[in-house]
Amino acid sequence: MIAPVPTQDIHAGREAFQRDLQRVLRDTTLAERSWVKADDLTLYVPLAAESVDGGRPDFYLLRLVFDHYPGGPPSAQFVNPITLAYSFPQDACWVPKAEGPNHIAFHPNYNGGGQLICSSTTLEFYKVNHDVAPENIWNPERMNFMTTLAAIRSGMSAPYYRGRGHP
Amino acid sequence: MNQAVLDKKPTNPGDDVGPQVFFEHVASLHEVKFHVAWTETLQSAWDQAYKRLGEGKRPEDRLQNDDGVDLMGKLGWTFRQLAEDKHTKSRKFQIVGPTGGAAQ
Repeated sequence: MIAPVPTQDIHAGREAFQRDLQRVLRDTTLAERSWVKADDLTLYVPLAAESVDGGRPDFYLLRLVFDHYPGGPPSAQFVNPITLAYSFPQDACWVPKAEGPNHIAFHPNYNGGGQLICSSTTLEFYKVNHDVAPENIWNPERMNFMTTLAAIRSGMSAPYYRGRGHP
Repeated sequence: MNQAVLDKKPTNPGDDVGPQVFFEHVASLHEVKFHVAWTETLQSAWDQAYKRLGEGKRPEDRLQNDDGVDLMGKLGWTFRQLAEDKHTKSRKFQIVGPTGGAAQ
């Protein structure tokens, strides 16, 4: 089925982001997790994946934006860690490549419309009207931005990760 | 070192009584931590985590570690076995529900 696109609500997003962030951090800090809260609606999360050649890990930077949260999932995009932006094709290497998982896919340029983390836990998934099983539709009663991070980390782990993306 | 020595070898402070493990229930954002024996299975610890969390187990729940590695095929492994595999060394676990994407 096609799920409706969540509605933007900046006020609710700001409150829910702050609430959930505090619950996630518990007795830790943003710095201890290497997370950066850029503003009231934006969180940067560094992620590492085991490199294909077994050498140093591949590092990525994920940007979450909470302007449709909690009714909808956060926007989730990998960005160039220098520019904090994403532009195809030059930044395709900042998107991981995964093969095999049936719950997530990383597209550097989905149907020519830009980057898409194809998961029911990201806002962009609904904006492209992607087909979704009813039980997987974003449900704020049992999902939060850690659901998004867990799904993305899963796609970047063994046995799925295949290195950096390319145009 | 022989296996008997390895089985007793602590790798972190307090490990002599068994590793400390963390279970995060992502849906509720609650977390529990407790010690387990090296010979205890992941399934056993997962069951114990639900009790400590006060959460009911849903049939669709899955377990992964904080590196994102799916552990559903390794529930019968002991913590000693998990510690010896580079993909399952982490002692932080996440209980997650189903999500969809690529295959729909």
